[in-house]
Amino acid sequence: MAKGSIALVLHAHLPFVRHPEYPSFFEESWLFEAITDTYIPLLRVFEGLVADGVKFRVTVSLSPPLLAMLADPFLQERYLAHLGKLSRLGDKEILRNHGTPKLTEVARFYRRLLYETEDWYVGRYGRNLIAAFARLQDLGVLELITANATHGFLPILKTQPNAVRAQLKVGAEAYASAFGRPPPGFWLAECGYYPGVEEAVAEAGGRYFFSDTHAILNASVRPRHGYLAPIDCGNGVCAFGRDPASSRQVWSAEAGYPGDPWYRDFFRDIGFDLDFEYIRPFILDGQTRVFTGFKYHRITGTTDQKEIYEPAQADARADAHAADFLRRQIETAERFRPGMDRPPLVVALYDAELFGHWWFEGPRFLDLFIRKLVYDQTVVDLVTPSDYLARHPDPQRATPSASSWGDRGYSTFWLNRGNDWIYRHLNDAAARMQALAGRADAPAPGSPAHRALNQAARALLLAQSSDWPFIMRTGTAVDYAYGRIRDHLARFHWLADGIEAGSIDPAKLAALEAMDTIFPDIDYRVFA
Amino acid sequence: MPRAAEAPPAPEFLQQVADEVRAWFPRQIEGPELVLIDVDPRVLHAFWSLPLALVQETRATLGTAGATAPLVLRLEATDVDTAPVDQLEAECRAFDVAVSGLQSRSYIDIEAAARRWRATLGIKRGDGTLIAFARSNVATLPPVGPSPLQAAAVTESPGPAVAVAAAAAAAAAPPETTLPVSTPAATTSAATAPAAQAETAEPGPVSAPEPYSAPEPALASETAPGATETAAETPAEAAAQPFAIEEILPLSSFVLGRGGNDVELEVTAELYIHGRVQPGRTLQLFGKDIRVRPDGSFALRRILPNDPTVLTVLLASEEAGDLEGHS
Repeated sequence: MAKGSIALVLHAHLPFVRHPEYPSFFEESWLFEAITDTYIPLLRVFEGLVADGVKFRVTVSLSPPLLAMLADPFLQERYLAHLGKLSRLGDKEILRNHGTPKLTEVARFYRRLLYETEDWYVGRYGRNLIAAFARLQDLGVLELITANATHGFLPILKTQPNAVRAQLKVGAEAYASAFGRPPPGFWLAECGYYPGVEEAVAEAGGRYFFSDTHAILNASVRPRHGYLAPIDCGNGVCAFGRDPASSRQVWSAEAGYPGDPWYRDFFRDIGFDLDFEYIRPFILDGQTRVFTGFKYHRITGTTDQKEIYEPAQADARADAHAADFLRRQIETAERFRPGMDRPPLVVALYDAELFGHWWFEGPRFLDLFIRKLVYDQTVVDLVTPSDYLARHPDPQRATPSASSWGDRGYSTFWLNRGNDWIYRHLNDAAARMQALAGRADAPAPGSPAHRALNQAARALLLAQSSDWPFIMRTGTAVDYAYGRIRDHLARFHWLADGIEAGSIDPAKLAALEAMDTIFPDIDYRVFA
Repeated sequence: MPRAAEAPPAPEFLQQVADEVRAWFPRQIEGPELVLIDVDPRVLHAFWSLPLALVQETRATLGTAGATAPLVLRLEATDVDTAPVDQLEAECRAFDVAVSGLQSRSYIDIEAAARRWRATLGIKRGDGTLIAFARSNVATLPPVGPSPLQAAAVTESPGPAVAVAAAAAAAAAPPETTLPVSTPAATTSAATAPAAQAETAEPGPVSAPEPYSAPEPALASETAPGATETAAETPAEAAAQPFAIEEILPLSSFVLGRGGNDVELEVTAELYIHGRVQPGRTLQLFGKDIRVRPDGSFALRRILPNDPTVLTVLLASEEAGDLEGHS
């Protein structure tokens, strides 16, 4: 038996962004870039490992908004249009760089990647990435979990307990709808935990969730194994604490692997570098410069002087980093196994979009790491949380500490002077939704009033997303985040007013349903 | 929800509906309501809504003193102690914070070891008793993070096979949700802490959550009890106010005006003052003592006053008589 285990957990999430009311919408490109840069590259890594007979286990969290967007024919169509535009840009780039062999090589590399992406997306997967993930779960290499419905930050939403329960139940239903089974565990948005949420996790059918390191270290009872083993919250739901070292090695832009000078520079992009007239057809509405994904430079150093990207050199660095990462896991296992009554478990939690999108070579790193782990040593093995609990079904009982994985480890990032104004409105809307859901005069299923109640539940859930206060805090797309909160709460109250007045305009209701299509099977009574 | 067989509405109609429905936000929240949320182990957040009529009627019952009687948040620890608490802890377990605004919010620094807190919002009489408008839920603060020594020990040796059964200071009970108190009622007097303004340092922007590193207890613990973003008025300031404070538009408040008029306004104008003095010196701003951290840094927020503001700073060394003033 291995001396230690590592649970590699990738959390894939994007806010629900879908705007059929506009011919194109910039923020929809978040999904398109993630499909191209992360989801398909990760699937290709997993498929390659399966094809080579590598026995591995990885946990992937697919949030309900992401599941909804990946399954949406409207967004699938727009994604293909996006890919087509980039492929045309790739053709132009090869011509433009003719005569500069190093740049031409990179341009050809990108164009080939785009063609391959389209081939995998359409030819192999028939646009259905959810089915691709499900197949890998069925093959026994992935453990798929999901997040609470719209990624609401539960330590703040807890002021209305019905909102927390609804977030988790609707998340579980979305997972069951996609995969035909209940989720084995949950990703609580932002690893946001507060004592008591485990009851809602259990009600939704989850057996475990992830938390930050200090949730375990500061638990109500001192953890015997620190964060190197899960704890039972007291009701059979287990908390797995993040390993800080493995996070730092991958997350940190300075000390982590992604900052290596041979890796591709994310920020240097022809969307900002090239002549405006040349790039105009490929940027936002022909007016605003945006990232195109064509990036010709490697990180090089901290100055603006960048060297040309060399994929082969970057690949060699990914190999070295994978070896280093494995060595560290082995060291952890060797060091702590003697003092524990079970193998130490390193829980390595990451946003999936880090791999490929932010860290271009990330999928290759994972591929190499898994292969080395499986073939080059026997000290550590790859497990999922369910595997570990099956092997060691007697975790210590303790209540974790309230916490998150955000900056400073608590709620500050989602509750501060830049975004705190939203919570009185979310609190008010959740209370109103609970009152509506508990009304004795339940309308007939399919009636306008019934549809309106379901749509009100969707609107409220969308308003509760942790992404909006997060964006407000980072300052990246504040107007958009503000607009989304405003629109969803406005739609909620419009619907609630209509329900209370017994008068719903059917055409307008249909319009709201057409815009916010998430959770088509929701039952508003989840808020009761 | 209609299925795909139905033709989707035209994009122009969707835009039209989106634009029209947008007017339903914000919705007037009448109150009285007071909600308390834990932000981190040392900070609570409160937001509230009060009906103007309720406040005005209450002030009227107080006669001439009613116009200037301060609106306060009264914080009280609700921990059930198994051992006696010392005097300092007892003093930190009940205090008032002066606030303003019918719909507003505030951050409260907690210096006590107590973890479970409840707040009452009301008007404070001259004798210290409170006419309560709303009572909050109980908010439970997470335990203060492990000390650096403890954190290092656990991180370096996460696997000692020794059962340590000592319960942490954290109270793990789930939070309560309590209906606001709608009937004004006097409460007993609580110690009024100096509403010195302080700030918990905020993180720099990041594009994604970065690995959490141990909190900086020194920073949090150096802030004054009851410190908040909303300013407490001195008696002199209060006396100079021709109106009750909530009748003045506080620039940090969220003011709603739907239903008869067209004001929909969100303003969060604040002064953010930060700097550094020589460690060990004391500092006054706005006539109040400001807590200086051990490294000499300080920070505070204050609602942007409606009038021109003169910042009067008074520095004093630890030796008596060495005073220095700036404005």
